[in-house]
Amino acid sequence: MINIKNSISNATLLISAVIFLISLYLIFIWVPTEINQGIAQRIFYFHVPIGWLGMISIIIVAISSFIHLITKNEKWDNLAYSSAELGIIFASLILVTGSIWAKPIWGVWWTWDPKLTTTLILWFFYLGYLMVRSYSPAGIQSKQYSSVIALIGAIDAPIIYMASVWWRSAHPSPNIPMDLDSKMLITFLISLLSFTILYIYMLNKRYNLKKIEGKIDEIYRNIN
Amino acid sequence: MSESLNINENIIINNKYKIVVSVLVLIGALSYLIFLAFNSATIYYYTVGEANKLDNNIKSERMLRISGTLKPNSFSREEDSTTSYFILTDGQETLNAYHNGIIPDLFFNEHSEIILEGRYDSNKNFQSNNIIVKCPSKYSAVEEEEV
Repeated sequence: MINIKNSISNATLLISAVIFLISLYLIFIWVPTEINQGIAQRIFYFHVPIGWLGMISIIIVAISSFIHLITKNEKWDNLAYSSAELGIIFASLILVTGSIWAKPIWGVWWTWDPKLTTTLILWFFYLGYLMVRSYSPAGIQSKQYSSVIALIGAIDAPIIYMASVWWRSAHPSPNIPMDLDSKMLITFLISLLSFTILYIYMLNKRYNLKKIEGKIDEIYRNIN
Repeated sequence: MSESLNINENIIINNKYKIVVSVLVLIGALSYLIFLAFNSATIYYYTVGEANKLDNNIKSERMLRISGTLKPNSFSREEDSTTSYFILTDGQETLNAYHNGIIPDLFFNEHSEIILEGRYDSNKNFQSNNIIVKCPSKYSAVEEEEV
């Protein structure tokens, strides 16, 4: 059983690596340069997939936390925690790639645009979730506290997505330009796929690690 | 035995204190952000027409963001100066503005929407501190022969 799981995991890594190489080729060599923004627009193929994972992570955290609150099953809490750790990485990367893109195109590193502000709030939710986890005593209570944070934080994800539609924003509205050149669309979709497979691989690894951490904790508590 | 229990209790109380502090810090940071983002300006920017209709009090006191497009041929810069003068328009009304500093490349693109961040000066001209260029949401490829 463990062997099968391992080989599936290895296969995911291999597929992700191959698709990543293809998408890098597409992004830097194959796809045409955008007419107005020039070369800087190519960060779009990183920024948007990263943004998607940053938002999907909090939703995974919230759903698993919710199930954990009801069933008290450790499995779901392990999944929530693993997704939160990945989430803060991607949320940080959204802010970083966004800044790198904004400076040459908008002219500023940061502006209090509704989409940027709500994304920063999401980042704080991840931070809050992980802070509560590491500061509170181990046990059921800290898991409940952090679950509540995740549930509130998940409300933010659709708000971020709709921010440029609901409010005036420096971001284009609707979110992904609908009038994408066909080569740009293909490149975007393959990049999205490669990031998503990488995410699944990392989530699986972190989840298994978290499970082992739980077992070690249990042994440690039994000894003391 | 009872001593070690006390120590454990102390750790738990100490940790509870830490949770309360971290939750307070989180709530504080969030409310500050919400206050910054939505209290002083429930809308991210005004259009030129809306800005012209604003109260004189608001015009003289508040930092504003005003959006429009660059009126053709309205851009000028004195020789050896970093201050540029230009006119923003929303198609009907106009706004005289000036900016001291670097102007983003896409400022001059005819498809770009420009957002100025700054204040009105005493002559009712708009003094921009930051220029933010909003790009068209349509991405098109450069023509092959240009590459």
